[in-house]
Amino acid sequence: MGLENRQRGAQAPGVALLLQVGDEAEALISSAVAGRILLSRAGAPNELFEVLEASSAKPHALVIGSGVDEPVRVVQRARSSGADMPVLILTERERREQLAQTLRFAPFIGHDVTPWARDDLGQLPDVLVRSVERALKRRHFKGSIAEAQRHLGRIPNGTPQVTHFVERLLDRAPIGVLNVDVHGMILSLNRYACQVLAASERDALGTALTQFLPETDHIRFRNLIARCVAPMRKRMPEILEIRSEAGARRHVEVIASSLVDRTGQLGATLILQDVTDRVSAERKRQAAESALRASERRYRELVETMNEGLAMTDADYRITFVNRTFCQMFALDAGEVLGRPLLELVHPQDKDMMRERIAARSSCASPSFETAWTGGDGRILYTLTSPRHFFDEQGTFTGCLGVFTDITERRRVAEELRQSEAQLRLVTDAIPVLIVYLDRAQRLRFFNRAFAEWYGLKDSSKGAMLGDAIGRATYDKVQPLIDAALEGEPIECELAIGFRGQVSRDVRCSLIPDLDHEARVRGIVAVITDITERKRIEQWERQHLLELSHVSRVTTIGQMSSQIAHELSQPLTAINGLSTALVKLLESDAASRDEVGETLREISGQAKRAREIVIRLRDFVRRSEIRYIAIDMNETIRTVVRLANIEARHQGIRVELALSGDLPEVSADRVLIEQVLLNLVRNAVDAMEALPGDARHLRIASEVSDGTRVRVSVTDNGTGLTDELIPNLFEPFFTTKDDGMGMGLAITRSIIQAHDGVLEAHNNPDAGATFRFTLPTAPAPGPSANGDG
Amino acid sequence: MKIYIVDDDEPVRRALSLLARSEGLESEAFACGADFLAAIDGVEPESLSGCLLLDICMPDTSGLELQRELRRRGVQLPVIVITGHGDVPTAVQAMQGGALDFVEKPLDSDDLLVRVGNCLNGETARRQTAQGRQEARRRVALLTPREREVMEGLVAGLRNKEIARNLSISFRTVELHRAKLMEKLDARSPSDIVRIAMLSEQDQRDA
Repeated sequence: MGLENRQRGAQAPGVALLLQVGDEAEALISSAVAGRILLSRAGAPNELFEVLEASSAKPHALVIGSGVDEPVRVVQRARSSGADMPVLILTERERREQLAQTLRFAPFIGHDVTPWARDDLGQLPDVLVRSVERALKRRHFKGSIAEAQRHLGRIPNGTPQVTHFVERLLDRAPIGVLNVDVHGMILSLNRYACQVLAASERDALGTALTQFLPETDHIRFRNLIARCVAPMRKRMPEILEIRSEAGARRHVEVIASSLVDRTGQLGATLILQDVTDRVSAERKRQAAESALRASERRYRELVETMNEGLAMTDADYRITFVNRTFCQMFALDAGEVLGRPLLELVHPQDKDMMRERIAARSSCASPSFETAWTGGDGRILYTLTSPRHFFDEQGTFTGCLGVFTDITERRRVAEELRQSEAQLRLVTDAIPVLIVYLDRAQRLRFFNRAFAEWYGLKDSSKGAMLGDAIGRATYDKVQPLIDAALEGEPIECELAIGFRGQVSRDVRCSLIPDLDHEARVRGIVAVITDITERKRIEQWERQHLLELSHVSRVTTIGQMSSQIAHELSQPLTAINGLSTALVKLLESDAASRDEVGETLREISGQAKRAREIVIRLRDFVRRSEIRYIAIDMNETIRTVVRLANIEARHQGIRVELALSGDLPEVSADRVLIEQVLLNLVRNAVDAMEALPGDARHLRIASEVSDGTRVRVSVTDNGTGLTDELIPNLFEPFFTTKDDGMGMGLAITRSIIQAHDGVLEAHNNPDAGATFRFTLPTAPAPGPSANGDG
Repeated sequence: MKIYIVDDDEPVRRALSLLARSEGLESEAFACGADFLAAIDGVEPESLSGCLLLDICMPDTSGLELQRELRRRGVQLPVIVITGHGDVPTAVQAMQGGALDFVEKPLDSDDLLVRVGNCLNGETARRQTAQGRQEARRRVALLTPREREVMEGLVAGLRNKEIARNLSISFRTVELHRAKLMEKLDARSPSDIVRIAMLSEQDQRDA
């Protein structure tokens, strides 16, 4: 095989052994490295092993072809023969990565095994050349150490003994010492280092230290080596993590110093110190610290974001801390408050109270209390204050913490409520109406002053039973009403109830059920108005109107007396004349029987005529109660025209009646309405006095208005109403007539109003005036329909 | 001799006609003055004899106008006017307009017949001679000044109330004066006061 030549000198070219690399690769390599490397070939792995074991001269590099089965096993076997050489394994590109992975974890294969993709053959010769040179260098170096040792072995005076001691010392020292070359390959190591790396000396030697380190530490480690090689750099220890095969992790502090001899940089001496315990202790400390920081941050956030204000003071009650809410609450910046005595913020009205509390502090926590403060904007501020006092071990007061809840708004609302209640009370007390609130059990929950005075109650009667408060007799009267109201029915009625248990008063009583949102009755509001006086006045007014209208009617008839007399005198004249003549005729026997009969009938007829006039007058002036009956307005108009006709006929007035054919009946007192009509007609006749007899025109019309009312208008073509007249038209004692009382229109209007009607007057466009009134049709609520008295 | 009756009320016309017949007097009745004027149209005024009973409170043609028209035509027929009760001013006007006498409604038939009779036999006219007027003046002269004032008020058609106001005396006093007045004038009715007062005034005017 011709390997012997190479033994002759250091300059001898290295030998590369090719195992089944294939013709193509072999041709390429041999042509490229010719002269620089000697190539040797093995046909099969066994052949390779034989060569390696037989020959003392090992090849300097091995190239394994891609066709070789189990290349890793081949490499392991080759290694076990003691061959220390770089190995290149040709492989398919796609399998290269997988192979590299296998190599990384496979034992006993050394560090210098490189998988090489077959399609990248171009660079293979150069790599191969470098690998061979590296192997040559290494062998040369190893040789020199061995030589040095042999040399030392020959030195007497116990020098080997020193080496031995140093080695022992190094082996026993509790620090790891190892030497690495510039690539980090382990050249030697002591026992402790083995322990640290958890690897045997044999396994460790010649391997790269980086394989014990995680990937992330590789750069740091290389930097470490590089730094110690550069002599001026300060050597800082680095802490690296070591991963043993078993997976245990250790932390090692590494101090590197350069390893040099005359030939220059050989590598570095590393001193390892196991600091696993220290690192883990440090880690724990850091974790604890950061946990503490986090909890403090959370606590601080809580304090800053809580809705309550928070302040701390020192033993002199000077503020030492406030949170953000406190600042917002008091409208102050933290800078403005820190260092100030807390008492300064207290509102003057509460300063004494606060001083007392400060003086009386005894225990850690005191109950909460309300405090008034002056805010930074000068406004008053109310808080619920919860103090907590702090004492040290000796019991000395060290400061306090206050939590402040803003209750200004709550107080304002409460105050407004109190005020509005007070106002309500004031109002209900001021009105002359009895107001009382009853709950379901008929207890007095609220009553106003009028109610209290009526029944002689005191404030303490609140909550008393209604029956006890108002007396049994009255209670028996109202109980059915209250029962009905408690059923949810609003009650409105008039009744007579006892006043202070004695006099009976007329009252209008409204019971209003108080319903909750589910329409259940919670209680009753009762409003009671004393209408005794009103009823008396109403009664008096009715009576008064009656009397007044009677007086007015009598006056009217008085004023019409000459006309009435004339009207009566016609039949009387006829009767007188006829009867006198008849007597004379009978005496002289000059009357026939028929003539006597006819004359007597005529007399009887005239007597009837006179009687009707008298009856009409008597009915008209009759004084009686107001009687509301359904009356036919047209018939009433005709009656009045008959009454007034006396006058009208006398003055030659043309009377026109425009009466609606289908007029509903109205509810009214017939006589009073006759009086109204007669007044209006007489006024109209008077107004036309200045006109010549045949120019006078009176028109009376009836019609339906709004469907529910009957309207009657009396129109004349007389002088009309002057501007001065109109505002006073219906005033009592206002008259334009020499002999008038001035009551006619005032009474007329009172009568119409009593009938729930309206009377109005206006001038006609051409001449004269029109008086118009409306009356409700029957059946209609007369003025006395509520509470018929 | 004929009684002419002008009245708008039919029963009254019937009664007056019958009354005339019962006295054996001829009568003719008209509902209004125009009818009467139409009836006597073309008749010689001198040939008309008897008397005219004229109701002067009729709505259409006033009785006073009819009187004027008759005077214009030269009709000498004596006129007795019928007035409303207490309607003194109208009565006074009628008398001044030439009516011989007046009666008030309601009529007293006997009184009316007497007046008509007096009128027909010239007694009424005779009373209104100088002697009659002197008699009236003598009675009026018996009156106190205040009674005279009350009488003048009555003749002016004033009511007692108005007289009281005008004279600034009480209503009761006026009534007392009035009673006294009737006694002194020998008047049986207020109408008589008016007649006597007018007679005395006529006398004064003539004097």
